[in-house]
Amino acid sequence: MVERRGALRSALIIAGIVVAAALRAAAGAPDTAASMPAGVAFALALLVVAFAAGWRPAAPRAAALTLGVGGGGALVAAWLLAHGPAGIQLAPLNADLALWTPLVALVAVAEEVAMRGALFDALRSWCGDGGALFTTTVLFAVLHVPLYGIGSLPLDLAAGLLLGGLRIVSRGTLAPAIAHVIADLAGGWLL
Amino acid sequence: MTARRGWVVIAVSTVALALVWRVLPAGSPPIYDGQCIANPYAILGGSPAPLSATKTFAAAGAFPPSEVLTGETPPQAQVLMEAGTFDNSTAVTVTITPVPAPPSKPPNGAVEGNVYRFSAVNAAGTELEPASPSLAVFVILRGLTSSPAPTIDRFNGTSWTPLSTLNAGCGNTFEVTSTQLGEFAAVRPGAAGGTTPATSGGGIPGVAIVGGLVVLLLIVVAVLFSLDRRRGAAR
Repeated sequence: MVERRGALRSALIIAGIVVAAALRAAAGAPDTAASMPAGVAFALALLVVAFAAGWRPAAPRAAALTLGVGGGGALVAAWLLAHGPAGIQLAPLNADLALWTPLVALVAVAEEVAMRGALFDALRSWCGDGGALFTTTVLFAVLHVPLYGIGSLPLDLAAGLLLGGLRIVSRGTLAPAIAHVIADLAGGWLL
Repeated sequence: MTARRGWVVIAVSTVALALVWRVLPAGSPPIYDGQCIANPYAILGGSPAPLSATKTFAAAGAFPPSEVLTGETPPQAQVLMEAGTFDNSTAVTVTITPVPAPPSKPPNGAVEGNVYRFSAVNAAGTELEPASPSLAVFVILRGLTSSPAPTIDRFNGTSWTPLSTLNAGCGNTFEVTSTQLGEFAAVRPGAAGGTTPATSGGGIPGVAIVGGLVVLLLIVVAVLFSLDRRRGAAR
């Protein structure tokens, strides 16, 4: 009975996340990834789904905070190591970047709350941490294909796995959320 | 799963990330998701004008893995090259220039956006091509829309050839591999022969799709709330 309920809850959360992504694609067409209103709608939809599924924020812990910063550092360092730090510079501060920064942070946090928060909890109640890690990692990667193309799949699978690892070690959403925000912001702040 | 296994997952995924970045022709920082910044597309002849890009590689034993990209956000044209792509026994200059569309029309649709000329010349001014077919270059162009997805075509001086095109992400950017340089453009599928993109028409209106998805989302949320309340009552 508990397993059936957990499976039903998981399926509904996945459905909610997929509908939120479709909403983002439809509202942001033709250039979904660059549409800020669509990004806000997507983030709010994810947060509503997570809240409806029973996810609530826990008190922040210093260990999770540190782990999140370390995880974000690893996500950025992996790219720096492969690319080489030579020639990398900070993006010039302008109105676009000032508007983009909080929005990207909101989207990243909302994704973590929905996937490695509500969905991870629902999945692990009936298929354990391994099943939860596998499902959230694959979902995370697949959801980004419409935005960034099939070429992003291996990268997002590896990034999703790392964020899932942070979720397991920290036993909460804060660490993956912080790591995710750092990695996404690096995408705009580093050239 | 124990915290120790979680650490193993973190270690494995970090190594996987570094490997993926090494294999992928990565020209941009690590956007794993989220929003991208995309300024309006600059059309040749319009204001602001589209930018050119040029980079000279000093003579070396082997041509380095490198990228050349125009300065817009995101770049409207980029070329990524692997190690050894060109004979680098003398200096090599790689240039990207927006050029007027040739009179010849693509067979698969209409050119959308600018036509870009990609060239590489050595110190003597001789045009270079990739040293072997296995050292193809990655050409990335920004289109005007992702729906329908454009194809990148190459113009060889007389006719256009459609290339196998992948979505490259932010700002309607698309990517092809090519064993030759030359002129490239994003081509919107459909009526051949034009240079101006047509606006999309027909199908279900966007507002209806968004409305339908919002209703669907509300149903999912309502069921989740009810499940959560029952779970709370059971506790």
